[in-house]
Amino acid sequence: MTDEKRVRQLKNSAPFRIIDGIVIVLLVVVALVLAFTGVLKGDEGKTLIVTANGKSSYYELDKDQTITVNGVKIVINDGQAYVSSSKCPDKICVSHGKISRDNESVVCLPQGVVIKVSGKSEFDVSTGQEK
Amino acid sequence: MKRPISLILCIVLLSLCFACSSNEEQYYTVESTVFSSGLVFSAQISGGNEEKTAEKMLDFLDNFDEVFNANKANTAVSRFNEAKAGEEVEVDESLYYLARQSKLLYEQTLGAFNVAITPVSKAWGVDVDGINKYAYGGQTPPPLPSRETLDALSLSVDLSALQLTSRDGKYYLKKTVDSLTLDFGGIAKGYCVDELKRIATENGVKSGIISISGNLYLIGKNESGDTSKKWGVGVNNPRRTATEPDQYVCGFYESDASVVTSGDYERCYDYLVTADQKIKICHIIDGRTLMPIGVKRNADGTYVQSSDYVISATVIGESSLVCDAYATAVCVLGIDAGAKLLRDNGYEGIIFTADKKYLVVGETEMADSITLYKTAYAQK
Repeated sequence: MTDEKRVRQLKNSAPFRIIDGIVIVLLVVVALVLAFTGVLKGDEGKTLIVTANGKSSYYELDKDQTITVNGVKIVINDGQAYVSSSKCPDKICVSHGKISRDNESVVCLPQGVVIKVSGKSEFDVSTGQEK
Repeated sequence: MKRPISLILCIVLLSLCFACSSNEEQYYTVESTVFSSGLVFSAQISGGNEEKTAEKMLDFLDNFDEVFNANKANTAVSRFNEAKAGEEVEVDESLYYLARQSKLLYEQTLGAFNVAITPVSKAWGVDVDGINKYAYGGQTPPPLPSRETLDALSLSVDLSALQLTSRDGKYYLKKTVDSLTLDFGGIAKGYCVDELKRIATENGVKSGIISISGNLYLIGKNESGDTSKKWGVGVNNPRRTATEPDQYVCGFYESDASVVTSGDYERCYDYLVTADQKIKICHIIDGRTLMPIGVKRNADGTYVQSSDYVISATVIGESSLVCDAYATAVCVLGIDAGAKLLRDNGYEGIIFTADKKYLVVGETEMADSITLYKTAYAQK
């Protein structure tokens, strides 16, 4: 009858013990830490891919520069990219803010421009920057 | 086993942590500014004791500067430059080797590549000092040299005045003209990259990239991630404009080879010929005409920009030293003679000209993702 005894014991035991509380608190803490440190947000991007008129161009995010395409002015500054001005009427792209992490993107539908951050450089290395 | 919930939660959490951690840490990287000229050496290597290997590489570069720097007092090169004609200067084996290679490449490129060209570079304000002042310092350059000034320099840049002898295990350089000076700046990066690659492979490196300011050696293939694939190389856009601001003009995949690019778009300054017309004076000098590439002289002695010269030459091949010299030589020789030089010697390359033509020499595997070379340039 040990099985029956165990079943009864389980049924009568407290549904919630201190150890469960500790684990739950721990999980909440870990979740908060993950959320605020941005670990789950994706890696920092390396390349900005600008697609317009059926053509994609690649820019390194660690080089500050300004790119203008189809009346959309894109600024890369301090590893972040954003649309600083646009000829489109709604300016949704301008209000989108800055992107810097893998797979983040800003779309300007009226001007047909998509900018997207990629976590991988298109190439392992570049040639021709001799100084 | 009474409380499996906590256990399961912990396991889930742990496995999540492992799933998040990346596994791309297998390359050891090192970066350092080397030589007095501020070149950047960087390497990512995998195989053997990478840290020790990187230390050996840095030691080699320190030692190289002590022997080869032409602008530093009492290096072997500056001793040779100050020597009189007929005076034998004893040098070490590596300098002897570099001088011999330079002379061979001078003969092979019919004077297009010349390590004695510095006096002419000075006259055009494109030696190290001039570039720092007029290209990076923003100072107004002096008037361009006259034909007479250049002609007077022709004797001092004739490399046939360099004589090499070795006897009893010792090496000597001698000049037959007082004013002959050597500056290995146009070939030193290539030589160093070859030596660094030798150090790397001798110490067990199986895969990696060695770079001295864009002068590359690709060792093996890229082994990061799950697959082994050729290294991807982006070729910088030689003409970044408002309408074509692209970073790269083309890209390609390669393994076990050196890659070197020369062009007119770095280390150059604009010179106002008239109030509204400027020409680009770049650091690559044609050893035969003593003119910077892309600059032509009219019958009346004025200078204009030529239209069809090479603005970017990427050379791919076994020896980085040869790639370095050929990249310069292709810029000087032009697209046709340059391509012939590469083909005749088993080297590959990608050449762009000012009149918007491109040529891929050899079987280089081009990247599909970058199309600027096809859309903005016409195949030659």
